[in-house]
Amino acid sequence: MAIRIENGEVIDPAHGEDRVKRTVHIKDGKIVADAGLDATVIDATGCVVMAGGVDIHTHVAGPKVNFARLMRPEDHRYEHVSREDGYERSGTGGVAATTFTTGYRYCEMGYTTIVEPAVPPMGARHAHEELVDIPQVDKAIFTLLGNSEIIFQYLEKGEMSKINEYISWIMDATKSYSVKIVNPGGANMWKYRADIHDIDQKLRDFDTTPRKIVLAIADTMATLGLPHPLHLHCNNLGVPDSYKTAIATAEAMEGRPLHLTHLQFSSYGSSGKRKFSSEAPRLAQMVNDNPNITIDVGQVLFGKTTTITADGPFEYHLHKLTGSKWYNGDVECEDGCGVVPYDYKRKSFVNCIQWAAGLELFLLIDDPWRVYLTTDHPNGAPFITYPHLIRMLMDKDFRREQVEKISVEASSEIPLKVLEREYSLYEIAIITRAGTARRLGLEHKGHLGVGAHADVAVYRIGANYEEMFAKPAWVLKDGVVVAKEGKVTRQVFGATMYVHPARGFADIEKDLADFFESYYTVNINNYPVGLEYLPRPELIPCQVKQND
Amino acid sequence: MVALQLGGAPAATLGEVKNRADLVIFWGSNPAESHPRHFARYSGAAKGRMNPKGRKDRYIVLVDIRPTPSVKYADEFIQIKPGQDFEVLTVMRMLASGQRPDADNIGGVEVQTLERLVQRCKDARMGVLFFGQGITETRGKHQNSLVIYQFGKEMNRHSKFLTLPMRGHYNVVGSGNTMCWQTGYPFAVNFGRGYPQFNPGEFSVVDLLKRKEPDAALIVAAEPMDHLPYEAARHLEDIPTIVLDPRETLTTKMADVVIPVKHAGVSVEGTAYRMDHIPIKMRAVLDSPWPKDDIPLSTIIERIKEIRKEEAKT
Repeated sequence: MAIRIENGEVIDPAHGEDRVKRTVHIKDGKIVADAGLDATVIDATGCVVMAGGVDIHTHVAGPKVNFARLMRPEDHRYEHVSREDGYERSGTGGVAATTFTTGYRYCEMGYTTIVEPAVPPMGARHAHEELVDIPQVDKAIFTLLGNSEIIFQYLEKGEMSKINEYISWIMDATKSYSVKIVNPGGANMWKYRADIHDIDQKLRDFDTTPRKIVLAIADTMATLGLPHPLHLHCNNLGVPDSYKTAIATAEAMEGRPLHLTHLQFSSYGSSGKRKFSSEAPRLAQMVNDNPNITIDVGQVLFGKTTTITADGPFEYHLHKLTGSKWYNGDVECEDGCGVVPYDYKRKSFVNCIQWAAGLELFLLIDDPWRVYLTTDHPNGAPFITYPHLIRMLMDKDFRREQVEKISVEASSEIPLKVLEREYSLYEIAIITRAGTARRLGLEHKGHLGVGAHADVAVYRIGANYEEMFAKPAWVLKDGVVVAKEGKVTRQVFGATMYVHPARGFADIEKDLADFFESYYTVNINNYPVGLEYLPRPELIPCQVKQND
Repeated sequence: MVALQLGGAPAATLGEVKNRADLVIFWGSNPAESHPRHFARYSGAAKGRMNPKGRKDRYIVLVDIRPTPSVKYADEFIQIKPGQDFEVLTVMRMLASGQRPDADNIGGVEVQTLERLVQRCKDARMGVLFFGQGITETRGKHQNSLVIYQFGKEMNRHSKFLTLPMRGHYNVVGSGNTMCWQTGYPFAVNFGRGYPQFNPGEFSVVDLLKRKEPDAALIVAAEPMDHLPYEAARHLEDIPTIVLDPRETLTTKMADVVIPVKHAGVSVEGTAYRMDHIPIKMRAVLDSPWPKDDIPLSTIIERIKEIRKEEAKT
């Protein structure tokens, strides 16, 4: 099947193309040099043509997302999709939407690849079962290892080669794409109802610290050549002076590649009358000064949502603060999990500061290749709000209108009110697809060069960027039109991407057998997730550096 | 489930219980008979990180309306009057927050006994309250579980404390999870309008059958004739029923059509979710001449689609 997208303005930052009028040729699911004369023609007059969106951090599948769905039936009551509306499978919406709805909605915004960034190893099987039911997009999971007691044991003994071998084994056992760390050591301390507040604080059970955990895992990931670097949710997230921990963590990395996720939630200080302030400018400066660091923002937007995180102690804190429902789900030997509904209010001083801090990060980080658009769905806001967020970044008058709506006390304190920068379409294409695809190490995504996957979004240019990005005129997945005018027209299923790092650093078989026997309740032979759980697997190669 | 929807719960996987719990309470549950491997693997004799001596490192309390075979595994047995769980638990919440009830005896238990139990909960390194059908299937329905979850959440002010339902019926957790990711709801889902709607009491199976609303039933791997109240199950005898089951049961005996299928986890591989929501891969160990569940189901769907098309033509 061949398609030519003609008369559109191509925005392909990976190749430096900014609104270049050229034809995009597609054949057999790939971008090609010439699709031939018998190709179907899409007339994209008045449109920009971009690669499909790539979301680097969105909680869409796995045990804790399902608890968020389960715990809030009220969240699903007012939105649904059905066959009557033209969808193959029905489902419900809300901030934690069902799997099919999630796939349809991403597609209808022009996104074609999404990453579920926080799956405890024991929950990988569950996450993959859900991914099977998410249509329209390619997907991947990151495995949580920042509270792994197996890694802690090896760290105590300084057995780095065994950590290498274990991470290589666990990536394969979970069919995962990369490693995420959430509150390193903190979820382990939460098993005693405690937390970690400093990157050099010792854990209670294990003679190690967050600094050592993060460095060991980052170095291992480099050795294994994983395509995406360490994806880190810092200690002390969400509290005043969290920015100090974020800076200390970044400094500890000493130039190693690092992705700091939802940095907005770590950008708070304790100055001002209310002892709560945005320190986003300092963090933006830190990012600007350190080319090894990329971030995604985790923007907060006003409204009701559900917070979901592996940061167990943080969720308990939030539950006590709000009196909301609270689910806690510690995972043996591995990690924690918490779910708490939350309502971000314009009249709340703290919420307004959070809202502003995210926008400040977007506007003060100079290099768009190192800051990515996320809301930490659904923690800051559900992903369906991306078009609204894009409009705030692109349209300073619109942004000013929004600033006027927030609490007067907050609006007088935020650095945001003096920021005049507006994102261009080119920069939006970077922070939503080209940059994220590059940082994920997905060579065939996020661009429109020959050989790329033909995942394409065509947006009709309009003055209202929110409307423009909410309803792309056409969306193509693997060279097939799957949505028109912001509406799914065809159900397809994407691939699940995973890595298979090289083995053979050390012998850990006996260690693992002993550890499972002593501390787990699952037999080690039943633990690994096989490829039978990935109906459309796509192996992404690791890039091991050749040492001479 | 409804209680979880109303307030959430402090939970964890069973390995946490094995590794850390030093206080284990069973309430309205008789694991010696209902979950015979539970003591050995997780909650009793199991050795773990903080419990190297296994049973000796744990204090086990059993709360029930009568002595059961589980009593001999417990350090303490507290007998309460039938139907008084809610009252007793509410008083425990009071005691935990430092208040005292006017009475000395609640639901057949000395308040002093409850005070001691609450103090044990507060002092625990990790306390766990497992609750069974004595809580979930008695008068008050989800209110009983709700007060347990509330107690558990409040107890986290003092100690690490978990509240976990003793779920059974093989893969009921898996079916709840799948329903939830596909529809947003774990049970009582009505697709009648083309999309999932949830209303326990209205769309739950017992209530539907009691009101005689269904005019046909497709029953997959369930035993309603044995498990449902008679006044609900009785309606199934009056309507056409199709049952998919590998075994002969009361329900297959009553059914109009029985389609024998492979037993998941015995003669066909699959995934089952444990009571703590951990999915376990199940392997096939025996051969069976029957098809997997999904084959008759998808055949039925395909046939319905064909019939719909034929109807549309005429």
